[in-house]
This record gives sequence, structure tokens and C-alpha cells, in this order.
Amino acid sequence: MTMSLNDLKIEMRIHICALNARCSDPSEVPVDVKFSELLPTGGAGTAISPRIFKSFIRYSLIQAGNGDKPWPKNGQNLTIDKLAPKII
Amino acid sequence: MATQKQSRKSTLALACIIAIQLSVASAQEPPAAVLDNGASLELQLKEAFKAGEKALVAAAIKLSQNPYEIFLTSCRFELKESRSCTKYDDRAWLLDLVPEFNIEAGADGSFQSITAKVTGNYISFTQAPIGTLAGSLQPGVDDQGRKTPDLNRFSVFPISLGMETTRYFDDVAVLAEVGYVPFGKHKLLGQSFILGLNPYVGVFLQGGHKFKVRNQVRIGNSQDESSEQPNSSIGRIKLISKFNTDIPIGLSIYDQDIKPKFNAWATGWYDFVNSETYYSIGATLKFPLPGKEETFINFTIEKGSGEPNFNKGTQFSSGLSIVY
Repeated sequence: MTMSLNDLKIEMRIHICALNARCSDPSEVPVDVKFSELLPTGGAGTAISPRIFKSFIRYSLIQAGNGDKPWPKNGQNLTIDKLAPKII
Repeated sequence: MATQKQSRKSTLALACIIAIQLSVASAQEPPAAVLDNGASLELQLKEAFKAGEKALVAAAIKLSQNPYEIFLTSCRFELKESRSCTKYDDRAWLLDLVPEFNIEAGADGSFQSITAKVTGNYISFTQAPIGTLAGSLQPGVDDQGRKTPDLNRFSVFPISLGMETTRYFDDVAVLAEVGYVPFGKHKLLGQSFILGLNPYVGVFLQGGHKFKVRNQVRIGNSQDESSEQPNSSIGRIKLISKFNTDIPIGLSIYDQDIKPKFNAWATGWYDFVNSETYYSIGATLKFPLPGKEETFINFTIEKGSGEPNFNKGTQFSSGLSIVY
């Protein structure tokens, strides 16, 4: 069974919450705020939150059988609601 | 007759001297080579060199727009039911590498240095059913049993393989770096923090070779104070740490509250090829401009410049930074 759009959005909220120190429940992550404001800064070299987040979402889509569609170049300026339909 | 003969001899000698002088002059100042169509060969070579640079820049732009990514996972969907995949049900991995091509431009539009690298991460993580990670969103999950990465604790191994050279290809450095950065959400004194983002600690193994193809004196390059010699191997272990925090004091300027930020870092290297140690420690104080949370005035103090030159001095600097 491939991943639904709804499940992808929930998975994005789970991962963003796990990478954010102030978040205690994925429901606190808004779907209409840009990733650049949701994902924290910091990290060493390539081990930074936007790159790690993208890797995990690509992994989950491949595992679920949705494939690996190219991500929009302005991904950081999109919201969960705008990005999810483009990559599923 | 004798006078005429002497005069002929003098004329011949003079002609020989002039001919020799002309040949010496032509050896000292060769005439500019001219092609059949009348164009200067030197000019044509310069144009060809610039055309080559343009082609290289165009190739770099094309590569950055359509990067040839490497993205591998412990298991593909098509093989999910196979025995080789079931062992990755709970603990899995992914490898994400992207090429990086940087060209530092010079004043005349030509490039000064080229860096070509492959960078990315190998990530090792555990998986859990999405329903168990969704918190209060759980009732809305369509496939409760589907497993997904659990980002509450995982390990990242940053990777960088590449080379750097100058426009003249006189200094060439080939470097490989593999590190380990632990990630996870933790609590200390009631405060949550993400280890791996803020603060982060990591250990890296660096290896490579510095080639000196030919000597070229250039102005403006900072001096290399390391023990690493040209045409020698590089082997280092690097330890890194850094943390950022808001300063818990309230400042008010023009009736606007401002919250200064502070970050500090310490990095150490052990050069096991030359049995030498280096370090870089520093701190930055950032004051946001009143009413502009994304614009900061920075004050930095740093002792030891770090790689690649490992200068040992102390530096103070200030500047303005704008976060987009």
C-alpha cells in the first residue's frame, strides 16, 4: 500500500517535531508555515536539519512504493501543504 | 687595388656584424606570431583559454541545476518482501550524496579556484510503526502499521570527497572526510535540546594529499602555518563542538526588547602524519537590531584559524549578518 497524501503530511509533521526542541507533539507543527521557519538551524557540515529532513522523507516515499520524485528547488520556502502534493 | 680590397673586407665585416646583431636582436625579441588570417596567436590562445573557462562554468551551472545525486537505501520497495530486506525492518540506513562544484571568480571574470566535491550523509536509524510516533495525530493515520524512521535518536556520518585547485593547477589538494555526529532529542534541567543541531559534537577522520605542481608566487594568500608540507599526505582526526543560546537578560532600545544570542565553538585536530595538534576556539555575541529580528551585529573572538592554514593568532572581528 503506497503512502497517502494525508500520511505524508503527518510524517512530515512527526519528523519536524522530532528535530525541533520546543515541539512535544506533532500536532503542534503547522501545515501552513514555511519549512525555513519550521526546521531549526545549527548542525555540522552536511548534518543540518533541512538536508536530513529531505533524506528521511525521500526514504519513506521509496519504502512505501511512491517512488522518488524530484523536489522543487524552492522547497525551503514552501509549506507542508504546498510541498507534499508535489513529491507524492 | 689594396685600398679597394681593404674597403671590400671592411664592408663585408660590417655586413656580418649587422647580420649577427640582427640575429641576436631577433633572438631577444621574437616577433609576435601571426596566423594566416592575420590574427595574433597569443590573443587567440587567451581567447581559447577564456572559452574553455566559459565552457567549464557552463558545465558547472548545468551540473548544479541537474545534479547527479546518489540516493541509496537499505531496501527498495520492490525487494521489501525478500529475506535480504527483512533484516532492515527495525534498523535501516540511507546514503545521500550530491556533487558540489564551486568556482571562485576573479576580478576580470575568470576563475581563481575550483572546488569539486561529493558531499552528503550516511544515516543509520531505527524504525517504528508510524502510529506509535504520531502522538495526537494517530487517529488520522491511514496505515498505522507502516514503519517509518524514528528521529528521536539516530546517527549521521557526514561524508566529503573532493579536490581543490587553483586557476593555474599549481596547487592541488585531494581530500576525503568521514565523520560521526550523534543526533537525538534530550532533556537537561527541564530544557529540551536536539543533540546534533544545538549543541553538536562530532569526530571526523580526514585524509588526502597536497600536490605542488609548480611554484607560483601570489599576493594575498594567507600563510600556511601548519606542519603539512607540499607534496605530502594529510592525515588528521578532528573533534568539533558548538552550541548556540539566547542570553537570558532583557535589553531595551527605543522601547524595543532585544534578545542577544551567543554561540561558542571549539575544534581540535590531531595531525597523525606529522604528530602535531592544532585548535580553534571562539565565541560570537549577536545583537539583533531593534525591530529586525533577522539582522544582527556580530562581535567575534577567535584563537586559531583552523584548517587549512592553522594560523595560531587571535582575531577580533565585528560585522553585520542578515538571515534570510
